[in-house]
Amino acid sequence: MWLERLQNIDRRVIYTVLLIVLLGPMIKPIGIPLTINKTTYQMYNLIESLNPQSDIVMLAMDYSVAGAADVHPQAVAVAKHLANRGIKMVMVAFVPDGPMLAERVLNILGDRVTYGEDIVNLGYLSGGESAVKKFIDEPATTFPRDHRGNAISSLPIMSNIKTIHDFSLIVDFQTGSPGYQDFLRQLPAGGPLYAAGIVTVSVPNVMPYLDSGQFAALLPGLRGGAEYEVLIGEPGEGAARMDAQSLGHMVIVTFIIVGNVAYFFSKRQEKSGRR
Amino acid sequence: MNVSTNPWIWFMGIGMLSLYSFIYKENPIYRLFEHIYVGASVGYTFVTAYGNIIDQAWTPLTTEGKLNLLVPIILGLMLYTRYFKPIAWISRWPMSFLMGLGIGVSTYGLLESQLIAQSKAAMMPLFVKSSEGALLLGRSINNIIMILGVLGVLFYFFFSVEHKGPVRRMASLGRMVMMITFGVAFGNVVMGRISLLLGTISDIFGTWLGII
Repeated sequence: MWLERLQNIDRRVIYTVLLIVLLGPMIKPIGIPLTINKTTYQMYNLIESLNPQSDIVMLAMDYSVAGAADVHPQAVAVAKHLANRGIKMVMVAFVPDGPMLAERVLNILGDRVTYGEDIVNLGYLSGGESAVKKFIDEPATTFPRDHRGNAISSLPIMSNIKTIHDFSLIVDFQTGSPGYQDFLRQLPAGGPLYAAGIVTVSVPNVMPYLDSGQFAALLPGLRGGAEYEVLIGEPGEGAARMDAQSLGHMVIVTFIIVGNVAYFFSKRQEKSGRR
Repeated sequence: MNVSTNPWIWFMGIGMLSLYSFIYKENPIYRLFEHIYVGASVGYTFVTAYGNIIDQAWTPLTTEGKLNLLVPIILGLMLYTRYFKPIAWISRWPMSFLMGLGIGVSTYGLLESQLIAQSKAAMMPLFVKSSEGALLLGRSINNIIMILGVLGVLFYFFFSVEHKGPVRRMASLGRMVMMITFGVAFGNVVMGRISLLLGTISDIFGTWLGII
């Protein structure tokens, strides 16, 4: 009887246990050590190798509010690193939520950057892959105004942008489409390096592109954001959630093991009952 | 405990709890906030898309005299003829144009980035040697596993010959590689969903209730 019960635990019980386990370390962190993955080091070293005098980075803010919990910490950490190094940033969005989330990043950066000189939020361009192509073809003239309504010609940072080759690096924070596939299809050969901050669910899909060298670097989900925060020495919301994330995994793994063990023994009981 | 006094934060918190109440069972409050969420998303998307039409088409047309923009504007308007039965057929024209454009824009890049570049990346030496000529065992094993995995999966989807003998064994290997991949994907799905749940917990218990 109890074997059957263990195989059919009510989902509400699972959710309640998960909530309690996640909430505990969020209130009182327990400090589970966080190791840094190779891909996160790649992103960090890539940004460290940029020259503040000449390099400009395009940040594609292609994540939605629904996936922001996974990707936003990455965007904040990378933007902080770029701002700390004095590297100019141009933020562009190909999903409607992008400009709003870009403004949140700008609020966090605060006095580290001067709007219009060090950074700009160009806003949203609709059209999916066609919009990506349009911006890659004509980055200087695609947006007549930025998200805040300023004329592009009045923004000093944009005077340095004539073609897509004026960007040294594109970091694309994304939760879906448009995303890495659209950029990889449209970027010209010899164009800027392409790196991505990606929602956790998509990580297995993008690994072949990292191995093939089409991605210069990759930040995988919340974990990537947390690792990056640690690397730049500014632990933020990503790092704060990693204890809870680890314990949450342990809960899920425990439930999977319990369910499978119960299944295994119930099958054995069935067999011995038949004999 | 520092509960927020911002009414919008309260609205956010109550909305999140209402949406999560679906976990217990469906209820009218969940339905209400589901509709609010969908309505707000559509409204926001509509406003941003409208801004795009003004910035990208209407303003350049009317202030800079870019008459070529009349073409996409008319094509766009033609899409709406589908709501009028007698002239609904007109909407097929811009639809065909959009499909052709989509295929044209993506085909070249698709071949280059997703077929040729990936095929090139799969062509790797089985035995990797250092500049001094010494065998790099770890990298060699990695490459052998990678190539066997790729071949196995290709054999699994190769239906021109019957799957028996060596072909069957390669196809079985391919199936195992795919099962491992699905396991990795499931692990990432769990991780991703917990990340999203942590964001919600942070908003409810941190931003709203001030416990965290």
